[in-house]
Amino acid sequence: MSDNVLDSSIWVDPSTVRAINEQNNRLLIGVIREVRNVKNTKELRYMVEVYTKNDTIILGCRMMRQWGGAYNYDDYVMRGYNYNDASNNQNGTLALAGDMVLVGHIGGNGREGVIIGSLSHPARKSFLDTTKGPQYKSEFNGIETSINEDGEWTLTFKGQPTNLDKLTQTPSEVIPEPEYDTDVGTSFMKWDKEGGFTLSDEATDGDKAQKLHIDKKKGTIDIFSGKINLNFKKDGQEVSLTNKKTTMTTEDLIEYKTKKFKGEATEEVRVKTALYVVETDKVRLGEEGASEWLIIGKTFREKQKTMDNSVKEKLNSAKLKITLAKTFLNLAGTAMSVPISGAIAAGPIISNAATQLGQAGDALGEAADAIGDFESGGSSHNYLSAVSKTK
Amino acid sequence: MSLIRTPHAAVIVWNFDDRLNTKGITSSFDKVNEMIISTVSLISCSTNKTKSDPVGTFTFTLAPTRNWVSVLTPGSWCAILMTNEPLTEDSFKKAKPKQVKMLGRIDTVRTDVSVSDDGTRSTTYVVSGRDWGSIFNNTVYVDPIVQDPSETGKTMASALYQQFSQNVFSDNNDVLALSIPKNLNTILSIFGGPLKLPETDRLAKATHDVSIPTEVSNFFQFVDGFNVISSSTKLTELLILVWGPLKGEDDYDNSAPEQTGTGWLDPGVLLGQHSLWSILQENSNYAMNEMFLEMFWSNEGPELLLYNRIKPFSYTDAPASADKIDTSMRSMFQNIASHRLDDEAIINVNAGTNWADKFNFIEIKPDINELSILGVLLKAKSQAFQGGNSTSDIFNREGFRPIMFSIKQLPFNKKGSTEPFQSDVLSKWVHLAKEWFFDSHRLINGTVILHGSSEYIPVGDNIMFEAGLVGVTPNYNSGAVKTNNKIYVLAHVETVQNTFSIHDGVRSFQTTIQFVRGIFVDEQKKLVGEGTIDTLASSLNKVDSRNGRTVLSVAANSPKEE
Repeated sequence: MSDNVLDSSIWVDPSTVRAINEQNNRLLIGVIREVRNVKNTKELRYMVEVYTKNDTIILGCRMMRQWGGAYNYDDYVMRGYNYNDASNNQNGTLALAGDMVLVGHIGGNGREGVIIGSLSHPARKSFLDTTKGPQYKSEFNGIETSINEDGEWTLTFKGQPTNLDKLTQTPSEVIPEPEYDTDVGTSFMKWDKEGGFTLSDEATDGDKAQKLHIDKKKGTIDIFSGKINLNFKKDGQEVSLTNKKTTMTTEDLIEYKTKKFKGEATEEVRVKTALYVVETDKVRLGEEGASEWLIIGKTFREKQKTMDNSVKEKLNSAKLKITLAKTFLNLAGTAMSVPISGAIAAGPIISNAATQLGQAGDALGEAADAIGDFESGGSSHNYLSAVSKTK
Repeated sequence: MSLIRTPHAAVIVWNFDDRLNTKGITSSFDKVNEMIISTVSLISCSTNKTKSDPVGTFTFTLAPTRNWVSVLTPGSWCAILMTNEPLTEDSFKKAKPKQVKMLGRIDTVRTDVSVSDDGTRSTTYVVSGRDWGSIFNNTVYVDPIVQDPSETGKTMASALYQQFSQNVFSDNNDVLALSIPKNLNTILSIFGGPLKLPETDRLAKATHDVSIPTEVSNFFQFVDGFNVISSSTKLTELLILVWGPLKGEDDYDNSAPEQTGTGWLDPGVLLGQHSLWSILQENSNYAMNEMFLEMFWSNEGPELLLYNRIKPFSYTDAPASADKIDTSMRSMFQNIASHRLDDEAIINVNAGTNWADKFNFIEIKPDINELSILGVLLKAKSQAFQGGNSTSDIFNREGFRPIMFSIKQLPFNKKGSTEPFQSDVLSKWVHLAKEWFFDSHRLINGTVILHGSSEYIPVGDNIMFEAGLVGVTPNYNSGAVKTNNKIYVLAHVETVQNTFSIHDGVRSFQTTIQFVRGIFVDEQKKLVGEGTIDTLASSLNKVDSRNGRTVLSVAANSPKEE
């Protein structure tokens, strides 16, 4: 036998350090008592009342997450409860409002509790009928999510229970079922078994709920707000809006682009604008059968006026000359009644008449030129439309 | 000329009158009758205290002057006195440091009757038990859902929850790892039952608020943590936690509690699963600290100490790698309280080296799962090799000799830091531990037996005795042969055993001390040579290594001859 004396800093009696090697590998049931923000690490920590071997331990826990990335995460703040030792014995967990969880220990270390999931709370009743087949239903803080036996997914906003105060009270009696205010809650969105989607507030006041319904089978989208309906039909690419008043307020521009644009106002159409521009070759006023096109431009009118004045002036001038020529010819005729001398005398008069006729002809020619100028004077006074019609 | 001493021994038993029965208390739970058992009845007695076990033991044998089985109540407290001083009436009124060897509780009283071949009938009574450290073997149990009546809001009212709110989720909701001393005090406070728990029909409070009879308290007059003589009869209130590195002789630096490590408590182990000692160990950061129990006799009186100090195992003046350690954590071996043994009282020394205590690799493994993710980073910080790297030839020669610690207390960062803990500090811990474990094979361990020591020699202290008592010639290293000064062995006390007996009228009193980590020093505790046996065997030439007092004529040039 060696006489060596063993150094206790090296040779440790295992029986004295049993707790060092303690491993807790069991999963334990617990109830959330409190959730805290950890100031240092900015994480959530759960104080969980964990039950083991007829003991209760208060364990600091993290919570297992669905995602654990720096940018991929899901955080939950679960419900704790108002602890009171004297009141929670009779009804046990039926009276504890805290969420019921399953706790494990990371690495078997009792310091490192981790909530790995949740268990059904004894005070909650399940509404799922197992005979219907696979279904899913969950509710978190007034948001209910369900998938029924047809695979229809529904998310319903139920709001906070009106009897929520029962949960915040210190435990004394079995927690009642939640009651909801349907004026606040019942809003939902749903994927139905036809592949359609509905988003509705399910309001019961007034005529109708407000909702959006995508009917995949019919290829339609309906948006309702009471009696207002905006309807889209995939076939025919049709959109219709039914409402009492439509107000559009657009700061810069409203643009429409279509082949035909039809509107109907039973009383009036009023446009208040600093400038009204119709960029088109043709404008038709009146019914579909009207055959006259209308609208002349200002420049056109001015040119037309110039032409009219010029033609008027030249026609008047031609009238005067012809009248003078008539007078001269009458005089010459009279003079011609005297033989020989009369003819001699009539000769200059006829010449004068001829001059006047010539001048009248010039004036008519100038009138014709004015019209020609008007017609050929460039695009500045062209018609807004090739032809204007009026009723 | 040998010393002539007249040893004395006695046992004071504060014998509980009411032995309790299934109904509970019949008369009084704390009424005791003081009995002084002197050498009239006392045939022999012994005490044994070892550093590795929180519980010391004792045995005493009584003559059949009474039927001690029926007289002594198991569970009664007793004080065992062994000394070379005369035991007077005053010795039984107030405990004296040179007389008392142990405060214990009686576990068993047995009679032993034998008949020899010649028909002689021999009857003795053997009483054995454990010392006051046995309270640490109790299991901690606190009913965790009993409310704290002082918590008027009735929310989160569990008493244990309050403790954890304060200590685990402290600092305004921050999950803060607290220093080792604070955590240990928290555990002790639970143990001591300061939770103001109400009276219920449940086991509501820590069940181990161990009380001693008033008579015991009056006899010992323990000094509490405020250095005041306490009249408390609750042992837990008398406990004093000693922690930190030694900055001077028996003087601890308490300026940086986080230096000893930080961590948080595991609530699960507090509920009837483990002994108090095991729980304390679990929260002690045993990689850097050593935990043990001892009674210390100050000038004011006896103190009950729970040590959890930085291992005071650095002995060289300069650390091997000063740049890699925190020198303020370096707790010098020479600063441990030491007891100069009377060389003439020593009757036997057995000493030597032990290669089994030698390591060439150390790793402190953080046993916090989350930090395991940092394994690649931490490996480099948490390991140290003798020779500086893992390809060291030392492994080729010695094999891989690892010492590893798995700890849950780490140098966690203070709040506000994004790093979970200070890995550089962990590295400093590891390199400091190199000083403690890589040179163990050059240190001396062994046993010293001396005529009974009146002085109370605690485990965990050092002893100092003349090195000439070890072997023949004090040529332990090359430094030793060059000095004319006296050389001493300075060694660490692992176990102290006191035995007293009377046989055929002859009184015998011996103290046996088992020691480890012995180094060679001068009178001022300065290292002689390297303080250990030399690094190089050739440093001590053949002539110098000869035991000159017995071998005088061997030529120095005869290397093969021994």
